[in-house]
Amino acid sequence: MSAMLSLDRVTAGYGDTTVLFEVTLEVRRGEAVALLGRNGMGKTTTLRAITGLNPARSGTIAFKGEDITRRPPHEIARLGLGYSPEGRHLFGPLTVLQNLRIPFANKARGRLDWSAQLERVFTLFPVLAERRHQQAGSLSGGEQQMVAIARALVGGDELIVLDEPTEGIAPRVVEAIVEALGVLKAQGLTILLVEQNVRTAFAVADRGYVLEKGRIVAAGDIGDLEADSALLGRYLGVDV
Amino acid sequence: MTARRLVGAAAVAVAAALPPLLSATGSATYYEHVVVRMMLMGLYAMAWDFLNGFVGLFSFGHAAFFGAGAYVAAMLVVKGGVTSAPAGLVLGVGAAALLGLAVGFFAARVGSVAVFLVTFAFAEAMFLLVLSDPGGLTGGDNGLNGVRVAPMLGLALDDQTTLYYAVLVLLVLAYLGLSALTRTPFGRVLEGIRENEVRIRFAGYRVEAYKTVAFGVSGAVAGLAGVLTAWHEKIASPENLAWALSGDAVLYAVLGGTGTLVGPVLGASLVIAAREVLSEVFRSWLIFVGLTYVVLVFFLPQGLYPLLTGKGRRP
Amino acid sequence: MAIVLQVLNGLTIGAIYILLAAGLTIVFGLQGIINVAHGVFYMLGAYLGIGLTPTLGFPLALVVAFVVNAALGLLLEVAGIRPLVRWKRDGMQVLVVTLGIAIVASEVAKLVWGPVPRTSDIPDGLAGVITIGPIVYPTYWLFVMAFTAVLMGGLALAFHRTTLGIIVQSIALDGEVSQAMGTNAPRVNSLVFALGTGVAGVAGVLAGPILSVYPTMCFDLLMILFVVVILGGLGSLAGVVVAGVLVGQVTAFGVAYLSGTAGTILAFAAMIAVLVFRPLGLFGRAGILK
Repeated sequence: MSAMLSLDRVTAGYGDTTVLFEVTLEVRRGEAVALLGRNGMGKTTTLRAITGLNPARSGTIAFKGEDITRRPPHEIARLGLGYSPEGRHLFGPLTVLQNLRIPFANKARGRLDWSAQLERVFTLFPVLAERRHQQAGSLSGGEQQMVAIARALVGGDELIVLDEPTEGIAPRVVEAIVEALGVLKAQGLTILLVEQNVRTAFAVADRGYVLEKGRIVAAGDIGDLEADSALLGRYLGVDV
Repeated sequence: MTARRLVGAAAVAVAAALPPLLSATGSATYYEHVVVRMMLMGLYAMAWDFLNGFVGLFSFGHAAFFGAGAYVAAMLVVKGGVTSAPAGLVLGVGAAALLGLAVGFFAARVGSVAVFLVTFAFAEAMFLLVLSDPGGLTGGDNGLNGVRVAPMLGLALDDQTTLYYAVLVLLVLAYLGLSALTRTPFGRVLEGIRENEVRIRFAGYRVEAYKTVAFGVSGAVAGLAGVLTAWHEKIASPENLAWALSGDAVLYAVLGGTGTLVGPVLGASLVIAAREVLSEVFRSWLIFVGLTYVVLVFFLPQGLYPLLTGKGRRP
Repeated sequence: MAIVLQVLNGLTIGAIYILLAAGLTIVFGLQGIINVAHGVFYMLGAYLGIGLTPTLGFPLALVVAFVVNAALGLLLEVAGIRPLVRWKRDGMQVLVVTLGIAIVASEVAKLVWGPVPRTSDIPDGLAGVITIGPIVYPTYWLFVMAFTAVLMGGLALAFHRTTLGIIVQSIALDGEVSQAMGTNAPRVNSLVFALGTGVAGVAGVLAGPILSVYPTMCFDLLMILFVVVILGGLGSLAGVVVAGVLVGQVTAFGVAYLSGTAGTILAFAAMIAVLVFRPLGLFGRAGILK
């Protein structure tokens, strides 16, 4: 089974600084992969390289068999890659519906049915149905995160890339999000997840990679990673 | 002595030798006139380059300072009957310096694109003000004619050749002065502001104050060019405040090389020479100015930006 | 009574300002660039209006002015501005390039049409005056006001009710994320740019009978437009409308009671004050100018 998303020796950075050094990883169709590591280790840079917001300097990124290393962000998105950025970055003054409408119109208009997609989102996150006409900026943190995730899949995306989806969210809502991600996985969606919160990662992912100072230092089934407390302690600052 | 210094010294020597050489030709007066204009525009552009190349502030209203110097010098003579050259110098340069401080006060507090707008607005406001001939002081559309100053230190300044040498000396002095200024602690801070304003601010320097003073210095030098131009052309007119003149400062400095202080003089000389030659041939000189702007941005390998901020250049 | 007339004058002038400033402010809100050549399309529209109205009639002249200036604007954006944006050049460079183009355009206009100012005739159907009680006012000027109101209303609707309009808003709010949501930002930006220049062309046709038309008009009005845009807040249509009305009033009263210069200088002073003390203007959102 060839990978849906693969990074091959990707080097990336900002300005004169290099942040990622020859990162290689892959995400297969239908699985959930976690990218772990502490702050500043290069997780967000990796996602920005994948989504095209900060293209890689060298190496290759392939999505569904196509080379997306230097494609513009909107083309990558339209190939079926959904993105939930760190900090959510919703379009605050716009309503929930309008926030969802944008990725839908860009990716799926004519191809999928708007009400069907909305139905799917509202089944996943019922609370959003009530808030659909509310300004996105006025929602609670947890609700905003739900909108962010919904944005990543409402366009009929096959791979969703989530950057810190549970950061700064109340524990109860975290549970709801983890549950929703489980549902999505069961529906066949492929997930790439960046997380500082290892517990969420372990709950959702099948496999994981650990980034340390821009390099992959560990990889494997999530169960194995979870069991390796020395690893957790060294790279993730976790006391288990 | 660096290569640039050598070239500069050679240019000064050539300039000094020109008048006697030119007197052999039939149109000595005309050529002298053009060279004086080159030097004065070079001085004016040098003032702009100090602000842009060293401090990183892009002013599009330098005509305001130039025009202030020109008009104060002219008003003194034509309206006030004061033909003392020192008075003209002190008041003209002083007025321009004060104006520089005033504009700088506002420009120092806004972002880079806003500096363009603020300086442009000031210059345009002055232009309109002068055109409207308030109190009959500025001569409106026609400007002020008949700007003749009395001899200073035994030098007859309304004799073109004498003025030629005076301008040359002042140009060299201004260059040396500005160049020395960039090497003082004050100048270092200014350069630091251009390179990394945030860091300088963190180090505790009052960035706004430094920018304001830089504007004052730049304005003063531009005003000096204005005063001398009024004496040279014997007239001050609204053209001295037109935005096209502000644009000229940019053009001369960018063409010649920003952040060098010498480059603008070169740029001014090139453009003025070209203007003299080409305006015989083409009806519209401004089209070349416009095209040059576009071409400069697109076809210079690193674009205008490294030039505009004078990175990697020293006086 | 005279005051009412001045207010109406101010509204008419303000209408022209609004039509022009709208394009400027939206482009700034979307791409953070200042298009100094915006006035060129206004000037072209004015000359087109003068030339085409006698043969094609006023409505058609408006349409042609829109189409021609939209097309030219698109050309400018794609050939002159998009490369600079793609190469991540400083906003100053876009400014300088558009300035150069504006200079060239006005000089060419001078060569083609001569520097002598002209005014076009008021179109036949809109000549005369309208009498409302004690107020007698030229029909055409009222038409300009009404036209602007309708057009701005349409634009506002388009931005808030249509999907494309919402996408445009999203680019202004967060260009990166919008692109990650699949928005082809370069293309949308080009279209909006062209819309702005097209509207500027229409404003030129409308202004022909009211203001004089001459090659350097593209620069003279520019400063006032900057004032309107900055007062209203960069990127804000509502701001442009409010500021346009205000500045229109200042201009009208300034010309009538002081001198044209005084009004303009007041406007400049206001702009500088806003830039220094309240860079967001009346309705501006992101701190784009710093």
